[in-house]
Amino acid sequence: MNQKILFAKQTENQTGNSNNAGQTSTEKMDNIKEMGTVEVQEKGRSIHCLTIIGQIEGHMVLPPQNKTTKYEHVLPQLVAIEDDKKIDGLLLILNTVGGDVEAGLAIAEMISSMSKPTVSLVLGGGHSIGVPMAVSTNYSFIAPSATMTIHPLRLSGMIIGVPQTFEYFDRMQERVVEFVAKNSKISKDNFRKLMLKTGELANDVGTVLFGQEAVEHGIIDEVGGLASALKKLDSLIEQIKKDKDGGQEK
Amino acid sequence: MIYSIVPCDQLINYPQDSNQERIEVDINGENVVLLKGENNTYTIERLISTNPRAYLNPELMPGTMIMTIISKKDSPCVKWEIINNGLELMRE
Repeated sequence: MNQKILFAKQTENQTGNSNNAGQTSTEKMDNIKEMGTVEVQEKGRSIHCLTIIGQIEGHMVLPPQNKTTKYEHVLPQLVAIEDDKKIDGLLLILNTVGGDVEAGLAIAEMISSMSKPTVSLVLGGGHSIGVPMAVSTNYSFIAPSATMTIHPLRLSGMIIGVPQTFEYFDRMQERVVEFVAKNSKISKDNFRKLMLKTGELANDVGTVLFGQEAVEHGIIDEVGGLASALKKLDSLIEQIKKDKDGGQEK
Repeated sequence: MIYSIVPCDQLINYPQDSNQERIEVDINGENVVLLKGENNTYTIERLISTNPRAYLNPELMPGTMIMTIISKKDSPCVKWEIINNGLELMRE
């Protein structure tokens, strides 16, 4: 499965002299000339963008008709972003229908514990486990037309109907509730109320929040689009740079 | 445990015949998902990167055709050539 596959040019370069330090700088030059991938941008800062799309995949690989975000891709990318001195901030873009609780919470926890400025933007939908991911950043935006569905964790498949089952689901749900309450302005009680609201969804309890409503409930910070999200990220980066410079002068 | 608005049975059931082979490879440091086509060709299906500039690179754009040349010398390495975006053919 894990085929070792290399790009043609790199394979050719490496034959004969694999431990050549000078080669790396040449490769960098090639990258700039041929790929146009230069880290430093015109604005003098470099941001990376992480898109959370489709289903959040957990420990089981989902069939190929599902569009998925895989944690084995995302987690190392987040480590690289946090570790790379050239990257100043992260823009998180969400359009997700939810997915695996643990994978979603893992990504959300990683983002919330980053030291670099992070801004999220919910477009289309940020449903179910997408909610904790959306609030995990320093500041969050939602497009006016975007929606967020907040509903309880569901029982599916064969379930043994004993009180322990209910308790287990309740505890799993509590992890989501706690994370959202900790990272946004909504209280645990209010979030639970939204989860269990009746009369909103056709065949389930829960709430569908439109852009402005998500802000009114305190889950998301502001209604906005790409320009406002980038502007906010810029100002957060600027703030950190100022703090750093101020500290050095003293 | 799934927490999603999509019902579980919809996630797991799918028509078997549409199962095309996909592989994940590294092209110039960027992670790319390739869809296998006919005659040893692959099409870029998805680019997985957080670097927004990587998405502006035409060679990594979804839909780009890639031809594989299997080299016996460097086995098990597979060499890549991007067909329709002007990269030169790499020969032994």
